[in-house]
Amino acid sequence: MFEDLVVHSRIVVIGPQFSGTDVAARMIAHDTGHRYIDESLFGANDRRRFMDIMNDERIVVQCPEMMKLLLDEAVPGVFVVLLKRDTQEIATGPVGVTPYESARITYEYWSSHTKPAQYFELPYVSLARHPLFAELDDHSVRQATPDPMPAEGTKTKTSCIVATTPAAGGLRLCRLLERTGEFGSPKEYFNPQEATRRGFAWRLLPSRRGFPESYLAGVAAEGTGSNGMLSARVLWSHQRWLVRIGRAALADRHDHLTRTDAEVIGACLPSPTYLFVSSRDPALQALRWQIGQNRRFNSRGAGAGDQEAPDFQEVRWKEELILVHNHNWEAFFTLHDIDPYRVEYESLLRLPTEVVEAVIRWFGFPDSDPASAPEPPPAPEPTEWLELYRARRGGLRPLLHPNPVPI
Amino acid sequence: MLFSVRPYRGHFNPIVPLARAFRRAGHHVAVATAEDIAGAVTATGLPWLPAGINPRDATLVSGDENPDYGYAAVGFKVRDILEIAVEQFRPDVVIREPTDLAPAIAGEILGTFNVIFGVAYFIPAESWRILGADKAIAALRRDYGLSKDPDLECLYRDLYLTLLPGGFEPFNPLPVASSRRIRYVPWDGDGSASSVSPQPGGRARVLVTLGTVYNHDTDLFERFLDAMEGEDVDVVCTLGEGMLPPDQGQTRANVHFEQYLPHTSILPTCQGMLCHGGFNTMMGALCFGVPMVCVPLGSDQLFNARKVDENGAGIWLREEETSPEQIREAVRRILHDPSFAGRARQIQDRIARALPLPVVVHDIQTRARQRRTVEQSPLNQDLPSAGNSGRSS
Repeated sequence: MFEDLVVHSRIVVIGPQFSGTDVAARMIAHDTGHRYIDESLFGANDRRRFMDIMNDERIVVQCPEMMKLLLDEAVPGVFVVLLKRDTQEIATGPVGVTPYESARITYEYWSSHTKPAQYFELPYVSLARHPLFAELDDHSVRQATPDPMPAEGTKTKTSCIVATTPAAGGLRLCRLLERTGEFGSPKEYFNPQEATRRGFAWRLLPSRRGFPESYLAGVAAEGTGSNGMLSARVLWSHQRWLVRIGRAALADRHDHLTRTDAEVIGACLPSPTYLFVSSRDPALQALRWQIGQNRRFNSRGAGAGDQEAPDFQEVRWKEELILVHNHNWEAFFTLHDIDPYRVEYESLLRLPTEVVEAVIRWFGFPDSDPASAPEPPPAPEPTEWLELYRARRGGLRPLLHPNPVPI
Repeated sequence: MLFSVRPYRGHFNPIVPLARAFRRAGHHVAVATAEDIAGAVTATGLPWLPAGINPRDATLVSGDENPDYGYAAVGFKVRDILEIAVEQFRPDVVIREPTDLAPAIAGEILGTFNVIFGVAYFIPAESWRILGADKAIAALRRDYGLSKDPDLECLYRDLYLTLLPGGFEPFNPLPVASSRRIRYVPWDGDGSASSVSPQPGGRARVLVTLGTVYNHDTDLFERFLDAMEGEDVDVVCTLGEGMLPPDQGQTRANVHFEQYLPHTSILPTCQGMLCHGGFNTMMGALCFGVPMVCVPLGSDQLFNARKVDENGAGIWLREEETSPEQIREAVRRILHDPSFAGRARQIQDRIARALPLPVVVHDIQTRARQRRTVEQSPLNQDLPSAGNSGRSS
């Protein structure tokens, strides 16, 4: 449909928000073989980054917010496509807001200004003739997006939540579980900072609408295995993020405010089963955590060797945090009458195959092979520092509590 | 860079451009706030780190103390920020809005460089005493082993950024050790259409708004609309989330209602604004040189309205004694007396000449770096010799 546009090396698609610029730009890119560039790549309205991109060739750029720039300052060598869509249709579209006035102003601006050297006006209705319309149309895409709270018949059937604290063995257990092929892809999907990175990678951010729903749908798509099992590693601090995002995703349900945190998690991650991974010795766990952090820091060339003494004050704070978060998990389980399957770090290290077999049996996957890809041996336990740390711990300052946590 | 705000859109939105400027400069940036604005934060693409409690929850745990600035509300957030620093990342700089007190204490414990981002006029120590915040701060400082601070100096360290143009701050100079006047960059969402046009037909356009917090005052909305009835102006009325036109069914030929319109889209097309004088509403209009009539309803609006009036960029009307006729007369004055638009444009120019954000970013990172070389965290002083290595960031 748009093959003839291939002669133009730089095509920009403009129009009011929600007029179909995204769909049209993707169609043009498909037909011309040019590279599609979403407005999120230049922050939607960052002129400098937009002009940098315009130095490139064979591109189709979706840039609804750049109309003023394109009309006011003639940008050379650009072919402009303006999406024409009925403003009432935009106002009553599926987006849940009424940007009628913005659309009206945008079209007024277009009609009252000198047009670019090369342009054409593309009626939105004509896009329906394109073979990709059903796949790309905004409304269709929204319909096709998996429900963030998967109902019966959807891909995700059950969930495994590896509830843990840092350096307690949760990551190791997740890797082992993933290798059985029964647990999907257990990752830190609800780490606030990782979630933002994923949000950009999945093209959900910056978002104008529905980030919680689309993010949870993305997690379900990425984390669910072929058997319908969705797994995730969840630290206590991630749990709070998950509950809030889950509650926002449930906002159109009448009871979204009265559901308990456990019910919200259950709505996002269906039929959740909790594995609680902890370490018998929080002091040793805190040392592992700190040394691991130093190792990562040093591996970036930012510090000295691996043998330096860990910062015992930091270790003290980490130990305190581990105790608090373990306590929080236990309180959560008690409050919501959850009986998690418990895995100890020490057992996992000593008998990984047996631990994974036991977990598999708990979930009812008797035919899995837990030993098919053994985990590499862990770094030696920092026992040489443990005694020294314990000797000094009493003189170190607490952090989180005005009244120190008894250690 | 850890940005910290209380969970209000009006407090969060103004920091977005600076947070993004830091991110563009290659810094790791996150926003610590409570759940109420989690959606707004994540929508910007900035990581949201849960911290503090929502105002409605604060009332449940505060007992007799001030639910906003008492020990419980501030203490919860201090602890959350400290947890973030231990578990997720250790900020070098904490940037907070003036009403968010917890980061001042947490930052002092962590030894960060602390910046106050003035999303309101300067709030002196005396105001915090009236609100009872001094007692909470004293108790928290005692419990965390910090030295006494009877003058509340911790609330004004290390750098104060004012967004207000000259003539709008109540103090000159500001009573702080270090301050900078920075450019206010209006931001009200990434979904805005930036293309705007003058109103066709030559009629003046007036924006009528009560913002997003005080927009439930339907009585004032009605008075605003009655005042504009029959006037030869094009009125765009933004209602705010969940609000219906105050007089449903009544046709107002010159009024166009919108649930929400980014002010950055509509203000460039306006010749006047009729509003409550909220900080961002006022600053948005001043950024575009639009004179305004302010009828303040609460919070800092009275102060804002008075300053707009004193600086000649608009007219301040008292809510309780303002009739539609008086409002109409005031709107006519700001539209027809060119001195109002002239003064508004002068202030617009002053805002534009304030420090641009990339310079602010450079300034803060330089100061923070200098600070780190001469000072250490109070918690890291007098530690055993093994205790000062491997600080993560």
